[in-house]
Amino acid sequence: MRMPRGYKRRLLVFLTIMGPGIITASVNQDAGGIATYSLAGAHYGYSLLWVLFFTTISLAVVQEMGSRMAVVTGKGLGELIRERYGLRPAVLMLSILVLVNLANTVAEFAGVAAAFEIFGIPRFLSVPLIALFVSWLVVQGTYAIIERVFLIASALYLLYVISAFLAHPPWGEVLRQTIQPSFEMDRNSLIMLITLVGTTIAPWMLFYVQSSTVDKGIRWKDYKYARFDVIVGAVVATGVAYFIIVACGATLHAHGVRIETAADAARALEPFGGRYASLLFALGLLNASIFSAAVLPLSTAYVTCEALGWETGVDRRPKEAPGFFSIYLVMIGIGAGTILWPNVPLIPIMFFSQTLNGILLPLTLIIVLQLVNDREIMGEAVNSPLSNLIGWGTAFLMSALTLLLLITFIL
Amino acid sequence: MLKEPPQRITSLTRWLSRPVVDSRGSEVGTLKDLVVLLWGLHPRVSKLCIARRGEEDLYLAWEAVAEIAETPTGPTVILDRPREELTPGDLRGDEMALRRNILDKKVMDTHGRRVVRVNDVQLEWRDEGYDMVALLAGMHSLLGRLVPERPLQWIASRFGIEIPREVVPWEHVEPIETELTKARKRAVYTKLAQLHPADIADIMEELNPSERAAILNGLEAETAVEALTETEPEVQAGVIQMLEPEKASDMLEMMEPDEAADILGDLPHAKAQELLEEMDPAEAEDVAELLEHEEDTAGGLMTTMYVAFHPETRVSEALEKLRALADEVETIYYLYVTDSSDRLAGVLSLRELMLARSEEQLHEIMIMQVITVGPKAPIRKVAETLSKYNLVALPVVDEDRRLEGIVTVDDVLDDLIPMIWKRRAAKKYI
Repeated sequence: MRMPRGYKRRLLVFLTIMGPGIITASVNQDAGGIATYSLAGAHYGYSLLWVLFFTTISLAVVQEMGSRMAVVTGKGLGELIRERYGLRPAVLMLSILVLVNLANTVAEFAGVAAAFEIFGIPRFLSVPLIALFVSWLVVQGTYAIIERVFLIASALYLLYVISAFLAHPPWGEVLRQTIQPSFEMDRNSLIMLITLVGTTIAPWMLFYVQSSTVDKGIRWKDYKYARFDVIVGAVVATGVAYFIIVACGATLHAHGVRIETAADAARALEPFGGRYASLLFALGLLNASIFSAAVLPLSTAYVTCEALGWETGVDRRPKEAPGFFSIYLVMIGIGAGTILWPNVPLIPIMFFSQTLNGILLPLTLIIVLQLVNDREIMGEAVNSPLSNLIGWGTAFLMSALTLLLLITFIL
Repeated sequence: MLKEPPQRITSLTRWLSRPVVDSRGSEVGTLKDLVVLLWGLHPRVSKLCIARRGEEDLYLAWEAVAEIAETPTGPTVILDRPREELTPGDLRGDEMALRRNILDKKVMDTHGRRVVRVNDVQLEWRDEGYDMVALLAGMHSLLGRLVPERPLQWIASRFGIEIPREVVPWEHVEPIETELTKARKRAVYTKLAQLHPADIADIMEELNPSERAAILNGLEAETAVEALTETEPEVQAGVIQMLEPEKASDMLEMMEPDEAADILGDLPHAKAQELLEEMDPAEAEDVAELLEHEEDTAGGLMTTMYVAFHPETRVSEALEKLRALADEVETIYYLYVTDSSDRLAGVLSLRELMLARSEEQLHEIMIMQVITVGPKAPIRKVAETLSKYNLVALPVVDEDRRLEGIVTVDDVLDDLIPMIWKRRAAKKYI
């Protein structure tokens, strides 16, 4: 498939500026993310909105480091870890990444199941179908198809903004809570806080943004565009989160509805947001889940194979790249299989995968911070003191919050 | 001076982190790296790098090794003098540290025409020294570093699994450097340069853009251009963006205008404009003209590098001019005859030209009924026309029958084959 030159050129200009950063941000708004934001809005109203202000800054700074490393070294994070720390630490790190991403993939299929159930389609039909579709996309799919899926996917995130407006929240109150931090010290709030940060800054994003920036081949001279892209991505990502929380806060929280499933989150919107609010919510969730269910295992397979030196590539036949296709298909298989297990609770799974992200983030962050401050690797492009402060601050805060969480479990 | 080690063939990772002791048996530190001298076919181990607690790393000449003791946990290096008498050396420009520069890095295997990640380095004892003979890749060396050899062998034999060993002889290895991480010296890819451009293209496709750019910069201009034109269109656009504009425009100038136009068409508009301005004005004009056309039409496929003569040109004259032009044009099998305002008057084949008497004028022997297409004709129609009339090239003319360019059959093949059966390679990250 070839696109007409003019159209392609425009698309390329768009993709050159709005590249890896914004795509990473979009993929990150997945089923787990939507579940987390819905829960945050439903159970805590607007009171956690202020957190997003800080996560935006953290996200932008952390992603910027990855994208800078990509431009300077021309290598992905998995490769750098292997080259800098050796094989064993790299394998350990990648195993953890695979595990966490597996949990995330399960969450994506939970999202698929939940979204289809809103439409009244049982998961035993929807999940295998989507698993097949996603596998087909990689084995058979082409760049053009994936690209189009992405474009549609990104546009659909606007639905959340519409949903939020349809719910008619008290905007004055919303803004006040956005700038006024408040927090209660109990275990549930703590878990919510960790999860909220963990879903916005996920460990795999660091790997993903770096690899895709490497693939774009951005030169140091043009790095300012990459930086801009990452910042826009961070703002868009948290912007979407913001509107989901507002939508749920205005409807569910204001009427004291607690949600147990994603369908609850969608249905609960109905009486307040009009007939279509719930439909829109389900559509958005479905789109996010499918897109992330395809990309997450894909990026995992790439990162792992590149670090281990295995053949990679969607353009190869499974026989030529057995490791690559195995990782991808096993992740899809386990992801879909888990959801088909009878009586698996969907929302807790989605939520749990985000908590895992939050716990593992500090480890990834510390490694990234070490690499990005290594003069032998980065030369003059090592971190600025401000980036270090925010980076280490995020790593420290996440570790502290996680420790606090563990303490609340023990007490 | 070391006489004969317990193992003639050994590997780098067996040695790393192993203790280094002096002649009195007290520990100096642990072996951090082995250094080779990059001379000849097989670089020889020339120094060892010892990590010491609380002190700087110590580079020591290999001659200081007295013995290598094989213990159950691995080899121990024993030096020939007490630690006070050790004289530290320094890394020379033609020396390379194996762990730092080769182990765990990506290299090109120019024989297997692929890219591998190095899991280990194989050393062989020859003429009283260790030579680096090969790099190890593949599952065997990978697992070898993660789990002990014995249980691995046991499990493998138990289940009848053959764990593949991949040994890349050093004479086929070409290290990779990226444009941004390259050492002071520019890499020279002597082994790679000997491959066919299509094979170089295959290897390049396994690399990322900055590595590709580094390779193109290290190759001779002509080889680089040929290799680049053999890669996938997406790869071409990516690499051109990575190169310095000067280098990129030089490469574009060396290509056929239609190939250059294809690449520029895949670039963002501003970037394409920048490169066009950098190019030689005459070449740039040809390319810019082609850029005006939609990609999958005759106009987008055609090249402006064709042979056209005036109707009154004599056969002998035409043959002579052809000799001078042959290198630059895409095909010499058809010669087009155009009048002073570029209108296509006729065509003749090389065979007809050669069989004609030398004093004849072209308009006397040319065929007037030329099969042509318009610049907007879609690729399918171009292909059908070429196949229906068994042509090697097809002229593209505008409404006034002015000759704009020609589409050769290979240009159409390249585009039609993927449409029919060769799936476009999907990209990794959207």
